[in-house]
This record gives sequence, C-alpha cells and structure tokens, in this order.
Amino acid sequence: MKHAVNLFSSPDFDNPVLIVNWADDTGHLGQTVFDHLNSSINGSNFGDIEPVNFFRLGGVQVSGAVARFPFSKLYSGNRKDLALFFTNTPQLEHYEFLSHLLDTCQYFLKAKEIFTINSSTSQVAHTSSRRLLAVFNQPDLQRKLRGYQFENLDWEGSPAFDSYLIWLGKKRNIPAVSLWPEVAFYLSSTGDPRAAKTVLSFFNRYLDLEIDFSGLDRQIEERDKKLASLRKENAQIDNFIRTLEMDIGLNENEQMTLAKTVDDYLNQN
Amino acid sequence: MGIKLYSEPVLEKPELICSWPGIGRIGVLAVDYLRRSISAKELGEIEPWDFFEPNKVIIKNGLIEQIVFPENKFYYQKLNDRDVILFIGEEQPSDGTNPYASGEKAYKMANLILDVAEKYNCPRIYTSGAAVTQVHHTQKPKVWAVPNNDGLLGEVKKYENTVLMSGGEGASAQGSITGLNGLLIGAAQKRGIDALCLMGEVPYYLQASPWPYPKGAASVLEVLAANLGITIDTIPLLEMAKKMDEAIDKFLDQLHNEESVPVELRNNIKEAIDKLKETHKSKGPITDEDQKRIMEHLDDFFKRGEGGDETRS
Repeated sequence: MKHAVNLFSSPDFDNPVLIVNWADDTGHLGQTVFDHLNSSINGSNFGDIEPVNFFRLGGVQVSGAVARFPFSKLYSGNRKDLALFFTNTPQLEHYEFLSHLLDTCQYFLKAKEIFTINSSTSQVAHTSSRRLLAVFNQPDLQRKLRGYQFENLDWEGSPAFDSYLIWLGKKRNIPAVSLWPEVAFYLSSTGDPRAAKTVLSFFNRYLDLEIDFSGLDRQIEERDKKLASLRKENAQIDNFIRTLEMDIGLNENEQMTLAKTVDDYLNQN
Repeated sequence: MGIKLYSEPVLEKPELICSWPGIGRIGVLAVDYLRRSISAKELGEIEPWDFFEPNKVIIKNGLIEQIVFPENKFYYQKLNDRDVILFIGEEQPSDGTNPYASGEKAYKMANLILDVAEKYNCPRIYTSGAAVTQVHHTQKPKVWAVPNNDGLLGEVKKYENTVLMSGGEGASAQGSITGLNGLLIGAAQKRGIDALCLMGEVPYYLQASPWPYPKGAASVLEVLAANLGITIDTIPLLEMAKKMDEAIDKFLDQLHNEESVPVELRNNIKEAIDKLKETHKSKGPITDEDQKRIMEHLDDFFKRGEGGDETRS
C-alpha cells in the first residue's frame, strides 16, 4: 500500500492533461492511441503502479506467444502540458487502484483535466465516419469542449471502469471526460484504425500536437482494400456492409456471420 | 472507509438486528418487513467504496449524474419496550467468486457494524438468514438459533417454533454459519456482546433457486417480534408465501414432466420430496445420496433460467 505508486523521476509538468488508455480494450484502441500520443511527445516511462493487490499474480498471461505481465505506467515527454497513463484494467481493488491514480493526478501531476479512452462497439460500417461519444463529470468541461462535436451519451446501467474513474474525479473536483469512439463491431478483435484516428484527431487539435498519421492512414487504406476484396468475393458480406452503410442495423445472426467472416479473412490475409 | 451517520438519535439500549441477502432472501425479507412495519427511520450507512463495486451509473445528456453502490444502511426506531437499530445490507463483501462474505473485508465490515452497536450500547445483536433443511415447502418452517454464548441457551430454548443447533429433532450440534450472519456473531463474541443468529428453514431442494422464501422469513419475524415485545401483522408476508407455494408446486410439476430427464429419476425426485411432508418432524429417512442426486439435477434446472449479456458505459 505504502509504495503502490513508484516514481522513477520527476518530470517538469505544468498542470498537464492526463490521458488514460486501457491496454486491453476492444478494437486495440488503447494501444494504438497510446503509441501515437507517446510517439508525438517522444515520451518515456517515469512511474508506475505496482501490480500487487490489483492483478491476480498466480502466473502470467501468454498472448501472441509472449508472456504479458500486467502493467500500469505513467509517461512524460517533451510537453509539460501532457502526461499519459497506459494500463491494463485492474482485476481487483478498483477503488484503491483509482484512488492511487487520482492521488498521483491531484498531488504530483496537479493535472487540470483527465481524459479516458474506451471503445463503443457499434453497428457502424468500417467505411463510415465514426462518432465520438463523450461523458463529462462537470458541465464546465462539457461547455469548454462544445466545439469538438462530441455526441453526449445517455446511459443508465452497469458502469464501465472509465465512468467510475471520472465519477471519483468529480468527487475530488478534477474535471474529467471519458471518450467513446465508435468501433465497427466486426473489427473489434482485429482492430479499427479509423476509430483510433477519430480520437487521435481530436487530441491533435485540442492539444496542438503534431501526430504523425501516415502509418495509421496506411493501415486504414490497407484494411479498406482487404475488406473491399472480401466484399467482391462474398456477396452476402457485401450486402451486410452495404446495409450498415445505409445506417440500417443487422440482426444477431447477421452480425455474428459478418464478424466471424471478417475475422477469419483478416487473420488469413 | 467508515460509517456515515445521518443523525444522532438518543436510543435506550437498542437491540441491533442485521440482515444480508442469502438463500431465499430470508434475512433481508424479515428485517425489511420489520423496518416497514415499525416505520424505522434512516440512521446512517457504511461507505461502500472499499467493500463493493458500483452496480449502476446514471449518465444524462453526456454528464455523469450518479454512480450507485449496493446500500448498507442502518435504521432506528424507538419502541414501547425497547429501542431497535436495524441494519440491512444489499450485498455481502466478497472476493467476487463467492456471494458470501469472507476474509479481511468481511471482518472489517463486521467490526464497523459492531462499532455502531458499541456506540449505542446495544446489549444484543441478532443476525438473520436461512437454514437449509429437509423441511417441505408446505410445512411451517422452524427457526434455527445459534447464540454466541452459553448464557443465552436457556432463553433460546423457550422460543416458540425454534430449534437450537445443539441436538434434538435431528439437529446437529456441529455446523457453520456462512458469511456475515456467522462472522458478526463471532466478532461480537470477541467484544463480549451477546448475539444470536436466527435462521428460517428453507427446503434443501429450493436452495439453488433464485426465489425469495417468505414463509421462512415469517418464522424469523415471529421470533424477533416476540423478543421485541411487539405485534406484527404478518398476513401480507404469508399471502406472498402462499403465492410462492403455488409457484413452487408449478415448478415441481414442470420438473416432473420434463422429458429431458429420465422418467425414473423424475419419479425418484418426486417421491423423495413428497416423503418430506411426513418425515420432517423426525428428520426422516431421505439419504444424503438422495439429496445430492436431487440437488445436482435441480441446480441444472435452475441454471437454465439464468444468463444474458451485460452492457457497460
């Protein structure tokens, strides 16, 4: 408990914005967004939250043939106004984990705002533009960001971890917003670069970053080409995607067929 | 982490009565019914952060309005003979794999409740829950009682329709009380506070069911009301119990006609359950093996009704 947060160095911050990305979210959004943001500030790791108490450490997960130990890392770079937190979603003691993060935010970083990024799996075609849904913890921040064309979310049900974080932020009077870019449901396991670009474009503009989008644009182009080939080969899939392009939803069986076919195709090609 | 009291009423040696959800929701049904019957007022709550995950968020027009946690609230009322504090928990703190409290968090919660008991000089604490026995659902459930010291045994023996977990009527002097119902009376023993767990019987073949068992709650309530020296109209609770009996009969008929279950097994289950009507008083001849076999099948049957997706935001 006493040493749950380790700080390896003391970067010079000036009331930064803290952007929280989850390493295990749908559509690989967290990884892609974090990689681009971190690269844009030439960031490096300056601290972490110890995994004990927050993750089941009975062994280690293996993914993509590599052992993956849970991590929760803080990053800083060449901008005093931006800090990044890239983490696996804790499995245990959520309140304690978030309290450590918010303590760091409030007393060490003296952050002025927190952003969290998560994905909103949606019946949207991969060719369509993505909406960026948002949940704010203070009306002032909502007003401040009005010009960025977020769609306000309405929801009453089970809370996501992001909601828990921004609600605890509200209790400490830290302005926070969780962003929910739409991810095409049939790209939720292979990744949706267009969704990542949607959220990165916002940060590029809001924080005046110089994000290099060339790699992401190539990924989008390649993904579009592959799916265009699949549509040519498979009339049923073409029909499903065309239906989504017309803003018409698919039924459960159609969704499952589309997701499985796209998964198989992208994994083989 | 702590207790938040909304008011500081002056109470004269109140008795503390606690409940949490469990089999048949017997404890919560009984104590919540008592709360409504005596128009108990809110006294305070245990802050949920360290014990529970939020179970609901309310977001309107892009603004987070509220996050909702399971409630763990204290209530109080001044009665003619003695004052009373009630504690009703919507959930037991658990490690996520077991619905019943265990470990450090459970012990912390038990001690927070005992802190309130000591603050108000509570001379006695009751917990309430379910005792899974070979009672038939058409019979009036008894109340199984476990005090936390020998000095209470004589008093408990005088309670109506109550069995001590100390032999007699087929009851065993050995056993355990799962979750906070047990932990709290144990922790009270450590602080030298008299405490008693009252458990309404629930038929073993319903232990896996998601249904409430108001008949068991009514039996617990009768004992509590007698001890508090008050009269409580239990007719609405018993009417609810009557409806549950009908639902249970329908369920057992459905099970008996379930074609996916071998006919012989169906007949054995029906026979074993019917046998309980006559045999409960002497803790009849149903064997542990019979009970296990019936339960394995009933568990499967209840699980068929569960499931569904969760969405989060």
